[in-house]
Amino acid sequence: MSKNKQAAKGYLPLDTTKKLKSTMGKHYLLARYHKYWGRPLNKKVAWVTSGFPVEILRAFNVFPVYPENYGAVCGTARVSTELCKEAESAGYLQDLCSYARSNIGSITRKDLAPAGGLPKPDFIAICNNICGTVLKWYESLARIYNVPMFIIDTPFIVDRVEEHHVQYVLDQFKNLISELEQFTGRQFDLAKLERIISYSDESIKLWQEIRSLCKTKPSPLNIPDMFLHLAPIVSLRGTAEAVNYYKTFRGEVLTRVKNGVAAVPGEKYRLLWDNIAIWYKLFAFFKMFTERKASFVVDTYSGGWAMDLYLGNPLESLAETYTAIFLNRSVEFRAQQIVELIGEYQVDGFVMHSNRSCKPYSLVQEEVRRIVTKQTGIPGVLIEADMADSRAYSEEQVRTRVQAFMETLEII
Amino acid sequence: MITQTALNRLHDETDHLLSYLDLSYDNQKTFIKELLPFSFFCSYWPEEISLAAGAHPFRVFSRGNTYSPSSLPAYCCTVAKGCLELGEKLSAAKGEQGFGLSGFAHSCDTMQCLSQIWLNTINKNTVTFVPPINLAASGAADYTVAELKKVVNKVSELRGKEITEEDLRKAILTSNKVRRLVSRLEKLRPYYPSGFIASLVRVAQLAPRPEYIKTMDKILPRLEDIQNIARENKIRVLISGAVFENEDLHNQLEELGARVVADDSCSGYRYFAELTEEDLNPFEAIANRLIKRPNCPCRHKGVAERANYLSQLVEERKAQGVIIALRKFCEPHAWDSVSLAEKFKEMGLPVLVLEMEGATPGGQERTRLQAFLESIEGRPDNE
Ligand code: SF4
Ligand code: SF4
Repeated sequence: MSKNKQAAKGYLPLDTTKKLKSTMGKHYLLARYHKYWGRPLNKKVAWVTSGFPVEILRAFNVFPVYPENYGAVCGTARVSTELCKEAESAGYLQDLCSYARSNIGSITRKDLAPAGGLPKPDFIAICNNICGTVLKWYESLARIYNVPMFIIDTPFIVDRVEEHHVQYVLDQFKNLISELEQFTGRQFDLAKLERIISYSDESIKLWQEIRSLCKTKPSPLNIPDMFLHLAPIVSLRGTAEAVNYYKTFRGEVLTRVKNGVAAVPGEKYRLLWDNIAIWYKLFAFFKMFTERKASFVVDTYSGGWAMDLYLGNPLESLAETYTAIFLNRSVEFRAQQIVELIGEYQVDGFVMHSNRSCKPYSLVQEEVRRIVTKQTGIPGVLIEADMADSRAYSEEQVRTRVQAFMETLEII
Repeated sequence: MITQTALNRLHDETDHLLSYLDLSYDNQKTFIKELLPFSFFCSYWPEEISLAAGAHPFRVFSRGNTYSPSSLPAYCCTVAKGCLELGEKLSAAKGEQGFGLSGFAHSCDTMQCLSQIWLNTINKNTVTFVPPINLAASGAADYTVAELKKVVNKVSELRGKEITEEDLRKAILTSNKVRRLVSRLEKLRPYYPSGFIASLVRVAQLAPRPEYIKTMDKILPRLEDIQNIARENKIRVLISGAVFENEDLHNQLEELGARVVADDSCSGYRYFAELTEEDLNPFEAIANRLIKRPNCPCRHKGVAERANYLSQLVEERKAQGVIIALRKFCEPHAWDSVSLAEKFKEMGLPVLVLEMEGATPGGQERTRLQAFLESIEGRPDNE
């Protein structure tokens, strides 16, 4: 492992990152050339939200691409801000989600867009279990491309998932299946769906296990690792490739655990992260913490894909799983989730990225922080920024807040 | 033109009713001694449920300008921030009693968050109704019925008294009466000052419904006697937006020579559009109406639905221009503004997308309104 890389990141890099690059590189390459191979293989391309029950689409041989993951790619490549400006000049206001703006900007600015942008969709598929923004964003896409829009409406869960929620989602699944049969000209194949679900199930379990390994002291991973290695579970969920990928990843993490290797050598503080990464500052931001021997051992965002897959009839299980995800849940649920993570991972403090782009995630954070600190006595801090649009990041302000927070931890 | 004396006389008679516009912030207790207040926030809250609970539904409108409540970040719209600050103040002064029961209808991401913060910090007696986001989804009606039943049970529990189907039926009759009255008011928009009609529409969400019905039953026929009203040469505009917590925009437009002939805001006619069927099972009837009424940008009926509805409204009301009034940080309306503006431009209709911090246009916004109105060619034809 090169010392230079470690110096740049401020902590120990992973070998699996090479595999990540080749795996995701292949995915985006396939996406780029879909126009050549998609039609002969009758494989439609769909733009899909990260929380969509993609297993159903895969059962129809659909090739899904994820504008949100692509937004993260744009953020990491530091082109989001320019792409956002492009969307703004078309009338999309600066206060809209920066993944959405990056995506819309990338449609016309192919020259700036990583991998030349996403392939033109044959249809788009949205599930509102993560936010209401995706509905509006995808309506715009449906108008821009004049393609069908399939919606799965998962009602917000005020307290617990109930029968009428599941029934409603199931009704929509049945309708989706018959529409997809028409649209793709393929018959629905339950056995195939079950196979795909079992791949999802396996990668989700591996992902859960990898997260759990960070309960070890010192933690084998720092959270930016999880952010990066999240890409396959978002984009390749339901494939054998994702399963293989996470097996390799788990192997490396297990070796670290066995050898007592810390992601942040000399780990002194264990922290929890809430919200999406600040992609354009991924390493520079976390370096402020690693310099002080603080390791982020767990987060809520990558936990979004460590959901419990419900058992039973495949469609019912999908309906329940996708309705119950944490962004579709109450403040109480989210606070309790953090309280539990703090206990399980022996966390000393938590950092909440108050993310201007993502309102459902961020607007309740102050309330969540209050509940969590009240119940655990653990301090938390809110840091305002944006996941992809660097104009919302104030270096000075962030540094001051991080410093003050770390000083609090040092006193405790 | 309607004479000032005539207007003053009308104002006198509507005075008591309009005093309920004040209800939202400080003194609702003075007005409602007998009734249990049932505060609600979104136009999708089925007020029939509040009425059936024997409570008085009133919509929470803040003063609509800048606020900074402690638990919402700066990048949140002033509609939500205003409600929360009001809640914080009122609960500090009066405790949870201030809002009685509270009812949220799940809508945008911001309201979703506000409902949660409200439940946790302002009023434990808060019920959230989650209507479908996709009103055209298969199973949407059945789901809505089941969700309504759940909400009714929850309200009954909080109230300590069962709400029966009969209670709901009676409530439907009352709400429908209000809706019919407001529909009649809508037709009068060309003839009366924009702010006057807008306030009579808004107060229908605040005043005790029986009193609203009684007063309007008396006044409306006189308002409808338009034979003697001199037509004014005003520029006819349609305004679209989220909530208007006051009539400042309407009044300023009026001062600048425009008349609001259609108000597609969440606090305007959309709240009253469509009746609840009176002889159907009440749950089904309420669900049907919610699905049928013109949708707000938070819900979906098809990608062209809102543009089609609004262009039809433009034609019906012969609007000469459209003002899309956006609240800073409001995502759903900002998203729609792009395609709506395109659609109106295609129709050859001047459009102004006006972003405002609160409900009151500031100096800069006023200048933009003025420039926009000046740019609308030709004078209105005294329709
Ligand atoms: S608003 Fe939040 S959850 Fe929705 S697409 Fe944007 S970042 Fe994702
Ligand atoms: S619809 Fe817009 S203005 Fe209304 S609460 Fe939501 S974000 Fe705020």
